[in-house]
Amino acid sequence: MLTRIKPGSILLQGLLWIYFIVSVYPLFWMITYSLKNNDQIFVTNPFGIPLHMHFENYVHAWEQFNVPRYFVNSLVVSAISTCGILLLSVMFAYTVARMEWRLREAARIYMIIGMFIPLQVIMIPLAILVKNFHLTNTYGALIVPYIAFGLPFSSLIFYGFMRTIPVELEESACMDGASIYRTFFRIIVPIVRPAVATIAIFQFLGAWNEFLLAYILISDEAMKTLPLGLLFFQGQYSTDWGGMGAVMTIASLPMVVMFLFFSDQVERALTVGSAVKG
Amino acid sequence: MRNQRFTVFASTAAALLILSACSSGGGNANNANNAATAPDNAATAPEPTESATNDDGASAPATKEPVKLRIYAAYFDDDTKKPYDYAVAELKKEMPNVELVLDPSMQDDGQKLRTYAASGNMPDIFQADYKTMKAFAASKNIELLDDAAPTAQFKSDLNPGNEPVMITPDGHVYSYPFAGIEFQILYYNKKIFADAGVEAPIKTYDQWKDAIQKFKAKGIVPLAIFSKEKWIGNSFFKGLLTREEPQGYAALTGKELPDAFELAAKQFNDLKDAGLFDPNATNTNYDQASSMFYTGKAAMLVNGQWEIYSADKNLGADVDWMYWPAKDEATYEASKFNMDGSGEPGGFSVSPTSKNKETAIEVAAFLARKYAEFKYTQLGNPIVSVKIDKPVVAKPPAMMQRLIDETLPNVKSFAKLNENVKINTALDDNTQNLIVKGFSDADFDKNMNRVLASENK
Amino acid sequence: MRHYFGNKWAIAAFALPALLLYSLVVSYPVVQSLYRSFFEWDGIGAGTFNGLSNYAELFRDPLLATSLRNGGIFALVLVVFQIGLGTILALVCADIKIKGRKVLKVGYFIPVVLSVTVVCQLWIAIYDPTNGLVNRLFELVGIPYRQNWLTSPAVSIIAIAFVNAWQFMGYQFSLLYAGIKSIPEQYVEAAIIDGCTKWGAHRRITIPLMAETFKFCLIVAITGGIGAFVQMLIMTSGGPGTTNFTLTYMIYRYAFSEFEYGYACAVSVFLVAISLLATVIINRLFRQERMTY
Repeated sequence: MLTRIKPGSILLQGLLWIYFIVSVYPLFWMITYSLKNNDQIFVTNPFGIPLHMHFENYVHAWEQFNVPRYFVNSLVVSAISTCGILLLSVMFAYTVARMEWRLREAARIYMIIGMFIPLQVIMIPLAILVKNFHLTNTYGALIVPYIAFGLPFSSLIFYGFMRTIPVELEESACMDGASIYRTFFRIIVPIVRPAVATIAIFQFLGAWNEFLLAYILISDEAMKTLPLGLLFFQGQYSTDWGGMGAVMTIASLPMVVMFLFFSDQVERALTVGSAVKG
Repeated sequence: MRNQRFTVFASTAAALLILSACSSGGGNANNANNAATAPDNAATAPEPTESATNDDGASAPATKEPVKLRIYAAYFDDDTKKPYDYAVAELKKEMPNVELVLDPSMQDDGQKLRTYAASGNMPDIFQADYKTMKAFAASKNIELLDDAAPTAQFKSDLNPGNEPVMITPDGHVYSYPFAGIEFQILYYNKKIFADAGVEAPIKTYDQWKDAIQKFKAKGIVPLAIFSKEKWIGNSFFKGLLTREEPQGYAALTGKELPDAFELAAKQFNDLKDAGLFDPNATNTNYDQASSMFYTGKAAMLVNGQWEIYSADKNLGADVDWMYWPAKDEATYEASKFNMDGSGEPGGFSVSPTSKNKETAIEVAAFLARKYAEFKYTQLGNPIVSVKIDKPVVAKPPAMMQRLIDETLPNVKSFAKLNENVKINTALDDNTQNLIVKGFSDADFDKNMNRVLASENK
Repeated sequence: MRHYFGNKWAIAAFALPALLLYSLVVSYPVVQSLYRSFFEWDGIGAGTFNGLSNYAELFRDPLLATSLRNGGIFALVLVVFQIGLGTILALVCADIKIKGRKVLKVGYFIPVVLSVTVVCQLWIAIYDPTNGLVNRLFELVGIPYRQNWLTSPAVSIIAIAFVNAWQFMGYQFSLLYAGIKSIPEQYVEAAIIDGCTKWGAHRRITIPLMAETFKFCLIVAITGGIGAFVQMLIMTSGGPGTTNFTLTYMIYRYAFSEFEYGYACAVSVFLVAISLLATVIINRLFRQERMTY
């Protein structure tokens, strides 16, 4: 394989890697940030490696709140929400993309509206709802709204994907006598796997980082999620930014690792996906 | 006035719903051990004691049945945790039958408390600021305490001049306060002043402008201000304003901006153009501004009198505070005891739906007194709502002692509140704008006049 | 096929769970907000009906113009940066000849994984007028263009929009990448055999085939820009003054600082309406170009 190395491609490679560094630097920065005190963060050393390592930020975080407990709560809430979103939205998207019913276009627009809703304004009605359903201070208080708010986005992505699937696939399945349910789960779902993987990552991240609803709807210590841990570092006047950095690192690193692991899965799913169609 | 920490929080916290509508609430709180620390007092010893007499005017409740009260109070740093723990320990001695369950609050612009109110989930006792008080009074979510048992005694125990922190402008009581009337002063670094050849205190604008040139020549920021929070620029403006108009914003009753305001805006603008502020001032948070001052990068810092403790710890004998400069020395002398601060009602309030309302009211009043007692005796802080007859344990820092000896007995006036929300918001926005280059006092006057014309019909 | 795709039971079984949950948790509170937008209401008490006066007030509110302008700028920056750069990077990374493309792909997504807070704090430091990297970089290259990035009313909204655009580029990137991957490779190969250059083939084949993906990305970017909020809250608190306000920021202020919940509801209705309008327009634009294969 004799590749002619053109100056253009070297330039391209260079630019790609520069942008790579610009993208990865925040990760490095976040970790160093979590090892600094306020003086280093703001004045003496905002960008470099900490001159003096403040590991105590992590010790503080660990002492301030039950990190493993918060972690498990975040994991449970995010995982269940993600599964719920995927299941409901893939089914919904299919009916809108393929099935024939009178209100399908209306249903699609109806669902899109959910993407524009500013959370602030429905906070109070939502809190009342959660209370009336006796969900306050349970996982359900977060899982139910997370699923509901995740639906519009996911449904739309699935919809976009399903619109590009050749209808012949279903036609031939129909000829073979497969039921619509069987066709859906055996043929359609495997094809949209690339989308499933992408959406799973997005939604999991969204739930994992969500703060506002968690803050308003959960006051039981045993039910709190990781983003709420940030609150322990803010004083009335002064804020322990390094401590916050530690909490953010504790919350984000597992996500990064998980993403590194899953991105491989995604890539494979994508390859399989295109193979099916090709 | 200090509720803007939620921004920071938001920053911290706003790791939000990126996907659907992004949003944020926020504030700060320590929640970890709340559930654990607070109730364990009561949980351990709810045995009724007969010797429940009270030397502080709050009489013991009639019932000796164990009572559980949910309290929503700030509990996240030393400033908020220590007084709470102190008050709870005292409560255990006085009313052993009362068990407090703490729901720690954050400075979140009242979002969580309002959600509680809207969903009928109010705590028995909660900390309320004036804004919340007004809204909750309108919707009957806060108990009117005018005729409550502890009120008369509490009123008569107020420190002189502290009525505004307890009684609303229309004459009602909704909460038992613990803080006194706080105010903003100018802190300065004596050493930097001496090195730059600036004489302290600065008394007039000309001296002030002259000082700015000297500091700038040495590469020092003349004044550190954390104007990412809007209220501090507002206080700075009010500091200038109260030289001429001791009433402060209460004077904004007409359709046009009074002369004193225009003068203050002009002075503000001139100081900015002379280079008083760092170019990044409107994006500077408290931690950055105080760090600039304490590391000697800024010659002055503006903040409330509460900064004294931190200033003393960081700079010791090198720091002092000064009164607000005025247009000339005669005005300076005449107006230096016009304090740049206004009391507004705030403190512990009670929910009308509380099942143990009478007890909750007693406890609210008791806690307020004990918070004040803690600040007074343990910190040597005289700026509290009620008179404390216990001895001061801690020796106050020299700057606080100066305040106690020289200023507090001579206070001529505190500024007064303006009740109009829109006018206050406009003041917050436009005083912050004044810090930015290119926004002039003429713009300020124009914007304020527009708001005044539409609000003071 | 008709009975197949028209199976009522299947439609009900597939669509109803999502619709019911969504209606209960999202729509019902939204309808309440719509209803409350006709009231003068503080968010807690009973409120008084005041007809359309919240809306009349809204169109007199000077903040509306600021918010719309900022929303527009924000949306524009998102579209140009995220979709423009995202498409190029996605095309490049989908090209198997590029070395290290797997690593690159993962790297580009990293900012999305981090929380908004971390990224905003980083950029606050980068934009710092004295110690910040941007001004230092300009200094280094000898360009005398130093700015107070976050305090100057003229540039701050662009500076903030850029942070959002940069952080979530990876998000659009991965959607676009998935879109490209779902196009059978033979199509592009065939075009190249027909004498197209690689980029020519992408322009003629890949990009038109990705219409659905682009449509979706555009909707996300534009409505995201119109409703942007968190970045302003963290980076400048909407200031100085109200220069960085957006519609969502207005809602936040009116609902929680000024106790005008009814008015905030009216602003939300307006926000939803223009987002919907933007979506409809985007849909129309793409309608003529619908391509299937």
